[in-house]
Amino acid sequence: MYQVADAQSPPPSWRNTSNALKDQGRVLVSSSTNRGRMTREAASNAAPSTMDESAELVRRVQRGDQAAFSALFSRHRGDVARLIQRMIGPHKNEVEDLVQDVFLQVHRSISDFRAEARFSTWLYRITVNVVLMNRRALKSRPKYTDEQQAAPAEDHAPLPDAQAARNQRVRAFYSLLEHLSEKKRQVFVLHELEGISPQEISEIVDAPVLTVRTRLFYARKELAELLLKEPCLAALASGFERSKRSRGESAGDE
Amino acid sequence: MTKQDQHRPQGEEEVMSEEQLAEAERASFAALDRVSREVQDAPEMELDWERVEARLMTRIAAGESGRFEAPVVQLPVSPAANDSARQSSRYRTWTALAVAAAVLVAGAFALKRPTEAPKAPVAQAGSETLDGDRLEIGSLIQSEASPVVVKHSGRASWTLAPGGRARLVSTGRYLTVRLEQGVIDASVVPRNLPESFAIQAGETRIAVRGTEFRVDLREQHAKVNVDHGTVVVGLAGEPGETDGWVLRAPASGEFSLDGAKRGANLEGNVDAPAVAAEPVVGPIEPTSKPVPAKPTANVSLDAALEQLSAAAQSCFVKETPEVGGVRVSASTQLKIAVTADGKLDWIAFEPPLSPSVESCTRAQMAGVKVSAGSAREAARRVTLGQRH
Repeated sequence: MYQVADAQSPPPSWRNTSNALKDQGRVLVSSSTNRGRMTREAASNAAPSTMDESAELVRRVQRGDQAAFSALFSRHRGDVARLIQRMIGPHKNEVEDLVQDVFLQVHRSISDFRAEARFSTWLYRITVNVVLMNRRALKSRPKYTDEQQAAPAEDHAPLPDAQAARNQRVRAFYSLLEHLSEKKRQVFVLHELEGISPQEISEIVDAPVLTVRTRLFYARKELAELLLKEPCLAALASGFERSKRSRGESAGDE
Repeated sequence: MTKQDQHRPQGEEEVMSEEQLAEAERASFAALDRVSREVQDAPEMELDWERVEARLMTRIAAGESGRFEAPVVQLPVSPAANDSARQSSRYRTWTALAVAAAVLVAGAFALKRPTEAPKAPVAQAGSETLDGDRLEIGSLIQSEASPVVVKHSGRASWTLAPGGRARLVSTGRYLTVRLEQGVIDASVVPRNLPESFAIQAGETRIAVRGTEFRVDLREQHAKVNVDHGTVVVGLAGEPGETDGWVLRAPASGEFSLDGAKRGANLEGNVDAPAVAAEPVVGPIEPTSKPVPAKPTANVSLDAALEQLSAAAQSCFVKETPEVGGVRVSASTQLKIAVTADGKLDWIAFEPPLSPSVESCTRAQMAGVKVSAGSAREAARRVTLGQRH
């Protein structure tokens, strides 16, 4: 089964990920004109061998093949780590811990996995739940105000200004994501950053498609408003606004 | 107010209809889209996959999941492994310890089952620094005349003062060291994860976030000094969920080993437990000494191991009752060590059992004395549970 963009789920922004997802179907293609928008053609070209390989690995793990579990881990660890990073921010130690938690859960539950579901969907569902549980655990803990959180590791090599500014925006954006509710952040990350369709997200987060799309809309709306309050992102937002206005004025002149 | 806002109650928004969504999704969020693309294009974080996989496999093998068999960290090891350990300057001292050190650095799944009396993995050294990331769960660290420093990359480092003994209990998300004797000074890297590092003393857990602190295990209590940051001292239960005394630096206190039900000599900023049942501040009386089920004369090491198995079984059944017809069982490796004069030195459970089961088992074994013999350690894998 391949995931395709369809008319029922307007894809405002099918995006590419820097790593094309290796699992079946969800192969996002890069294009200079349309960043990773998935097409039926691309979907039909998705390599079935990767799907078969994952399915075969899962079957072997279910039979107790330890080497297959290692192979499954190697195959999917990057995708899981990337999703976790996008959900919690670039905190290396936490990402490493949560990747372990996810695959520990995979290991525990893989006997329950049924082949009619896509392994990647199942894996993403576990990942989302692990991150959610972790956040809840953190929230239930007392906040210690006399401690400073470790800053994400940064590359101290000198960067060109543009690159430095981009890195600053990325960090600021992760901070903004923290302001979203858990449910909105989930759908935003899964759809906007991971390029997963609302249909598949509905399976991952166990919610109806319309609910997913509603959360997604409000997530985008809230983030767009938050952008204006973040200095290094506000400039970008106002630039787009100016451009939009000038286009409108030009159109009015004509 | 937009049309969408009209459908927005407090809390989660009301689900839009298909028509409303069709209109809403036409909205342009150009700046947001641009930043989203930058996030997508940002270089991926480089993770230490070797370490992640090693820890994952260790956690799986340690029983956090029962699918694969736990690694057996016992003697004998292959001659090759033995040789490599001898060549290592990191793990010197006598031959048996060198063999154990070889076990420590061997792959988690690479070792074979023992055919004779096993030994606990032991790292013993004089004024050395050990790589904590290479230690297996259950590793025993002993210091003699010089301190031993154990470093867990990016997480914590701790120093076992001379004459100390500590065991690595968990190495996953929650790094836990059980202090069996002596003093530990710990420095923990601040993380966005509560209790990423903890020291257990008896049934008391001293759990930290980013901090520097010292735990000094005395006969009836643990003395805790916090130099920086915050620690929570309470019952050693589920990692990450310790409730108890909160010490904010600079602070110190002495806590009983029964889950810190009592605290004494509290100095500095110390909050009593918010939810624990009647925390007591005052002198720490000796806790009720565990009495063995029946006083035993000197027994052989094998007989002591047999008693240990029986005690663990009875405690497991007592502390893990059958619920709703569901039988619970656990597989663990029991390890026992005795001193030269035949007293019980330590008892270990790998993977660990619940604190209540371990505590009960230790209590039942108190007073057991082993007759003189050459063997000082023994181990046995047992399956505990309800029997019908």
